[in-house]
Amino acid sequence: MIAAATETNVIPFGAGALAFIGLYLLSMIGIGWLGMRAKEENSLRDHFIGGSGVGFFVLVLTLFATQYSGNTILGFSGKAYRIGFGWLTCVHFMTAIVVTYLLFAPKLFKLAKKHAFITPTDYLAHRFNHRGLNLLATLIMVASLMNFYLAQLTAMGRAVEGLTTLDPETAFLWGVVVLAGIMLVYENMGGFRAVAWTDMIQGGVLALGFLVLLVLIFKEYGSMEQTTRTLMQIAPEKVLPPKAPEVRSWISYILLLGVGAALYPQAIQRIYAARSARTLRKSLAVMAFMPLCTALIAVLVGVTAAAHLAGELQGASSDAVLGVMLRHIQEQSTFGYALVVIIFAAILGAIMSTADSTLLSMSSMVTKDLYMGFVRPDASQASLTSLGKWISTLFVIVLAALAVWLNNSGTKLTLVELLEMKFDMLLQLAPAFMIAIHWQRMRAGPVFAGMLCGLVFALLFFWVPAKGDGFLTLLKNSGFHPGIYGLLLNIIICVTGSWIVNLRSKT
Amino acid sequence: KRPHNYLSWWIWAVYALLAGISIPWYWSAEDTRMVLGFPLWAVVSVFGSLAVSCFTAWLFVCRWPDDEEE
Repeated sequence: MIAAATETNVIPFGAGALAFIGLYLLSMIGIGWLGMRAKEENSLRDHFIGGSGVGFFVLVLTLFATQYSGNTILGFSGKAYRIGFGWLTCVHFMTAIVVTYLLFAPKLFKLAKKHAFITPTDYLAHRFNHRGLNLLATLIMVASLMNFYLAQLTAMGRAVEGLTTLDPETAFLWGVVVLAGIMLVYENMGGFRAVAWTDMIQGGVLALGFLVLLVLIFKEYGSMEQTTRTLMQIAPEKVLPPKAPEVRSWISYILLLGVGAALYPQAIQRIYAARSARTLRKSLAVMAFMPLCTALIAVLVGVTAAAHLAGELQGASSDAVLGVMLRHIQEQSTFGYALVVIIFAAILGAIMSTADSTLLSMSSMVTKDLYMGFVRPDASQASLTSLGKWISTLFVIVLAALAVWLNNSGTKLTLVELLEMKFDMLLQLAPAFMIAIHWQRMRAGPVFAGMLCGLVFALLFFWVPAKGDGFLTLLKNSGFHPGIYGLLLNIIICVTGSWIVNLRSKT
Repeated sequence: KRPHNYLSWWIWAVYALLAGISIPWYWSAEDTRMVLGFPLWAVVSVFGSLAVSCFTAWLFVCRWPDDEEE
C-alpha cells in the first residue's frame, strides 16, 4: 500500500513449488466458473455486487483480503526496516480505517439496501442529484484506483522476477501478463461472486502466511528482547520514542489513511454487498482486530531484519527485506523451503485479491456512472453487463502495458508519488459521504465546490518546491500530508457554503 | 428508548483519550525502558491500539444504531 517496489530475493523455485503455485492459480479460474454458475440474473447488480449479498464468512474474508494488499507484507516490513519501531503507526492507521466506518457505514448500508446502490456514486446521485458532483467524484475514484491497480500489477511482476531463472525484464512481463490474465478470466466469468470467493481462499492463505511468518522470525532470529537490544546498540534511533516531527507524521498518517482508505470504492461496495446489518456489523467487528494480526507482524519482521541484516539493503530496495529473510530460511532446510512457498502464495494472494476488487470497482463506475449516467441512460442491463466485462479487459490491457513500460524505462519514482497522491485525492470525498449523510441541509453546490477546491489545493503541493520560505513550502514541510490541508479547505467551503445557501433560501 | 448513535460525544471522547495514550507524543526522546522485550513506549502504543480495537468491536456488535436491522 505504501511502496511500489516489491521484489523478492528468494532462490528460484523448483518444479514442485512452481506446480503448487500453478495449481493454486488455476483453482481461481475454477472458482470463477462456480461464480458464473451461481449467477441469478444478467444484471449490473448481480455482476458487480453479487445480487442479494454475501454472508458473514465471505464478507469478513473479502474485506480482509481487499484491505490488505501485497504491500502490507512487503512495503510495511521494508518501512519498519528503514525506521524501526516508529512504523508502529501502520497498526494505528489500519485500525483507524475500521473506526471511520462508524461515521457512515450504518446509514449507508440502510440506504444501499433500500435504493439498490451499486457504485459509491449512486449514493451521491441519490443524496445530491448533481451531475457535476457525480462526474467529479467518479473521476477522483477511477483515477485513484487506476494508479492503485498499476501498483498491484507492478507488485505482481516484481514478485515473479526473483522466482524464475529468466532475465528480470522477461520474468516481469510474464508475471504481469499471466497473473493479470488469470484474474481477468475469473472476474469476467463470475463477477463479484468470483472475486469474493477467491478472496476467501486468498484471505485464508494470507492469514496463514502471516502466522507462519511470525513463527519463522522467532525460530530463526531468537527472542524479541535480543533483537531490540541488538538494534539499540547499532541503530538506537530505530528503538527510541519518535520525536515531534515523527509524531506529526503519525497523526497525519492516521487521518489520511484512516479516512482515505475507508473511502476506497471497493470497500464501500462491500458495505453494499453485506447480506444483512448483522452480517456487516459482525464482519467490521472482526476487521477491528486484523491490524494486530497482520500489520504488527510486518513491523516485527522489519525490526528483526533491521537488527540482524543491518546494512544489507539501502533506500527503495529495502522493500525487498522480506525476500532476503526468506532466502536465509529457504537455505536452511526442506521444511523452511516449503514454508517459504506458503508465504509466497500468501503474497501472491494478497496482491491478486486487492487487484481483482480494484478492477471490478473501476469497471462498475465507468459502466454505470459514466456510460449509463452520461452516454446511454436507457441501455439494457444485459448490454451494460457485457460492456462492463469489456471495460475490465481494456483496463487490464492498458494498465498492464503501462506497468511493463514503466518497469523497462526504470520510472519508479513517479509511481511512488502517484501512490501517495491517491489518498490525498480520495480524502476529498469525505464531506460528501461522512458529513452529508448526517446533515440533511448540506447542499450540492458547496459540496461540489469544496471537493474541487480541496482536490486542486492538495494536488498543488506536488509542484510546490520543498525548499524556501513560502507559506505553501512551510505547509509542505510541516509533516502533514497535502490531502489533510485540502480536506480542511474542502470542509470550510462545504459547511459555510451550505450555511449561506440555507440562510438565503430562508430569507 | 433512544436509539444508539455513533455520533455521541462520549464515544469520540473515548477515542480521543485512547489516541492520546497510543500516539507516543508524551515520551522523552531518550527513554530506553524495556518491557516484554520491546521498548516500553511501543508496548503502551500497541496495547492502546488493542483497546481501540476492543472498543470499536463492542460498538459494532452491541451499539449498532437500532434504526439503521432490512
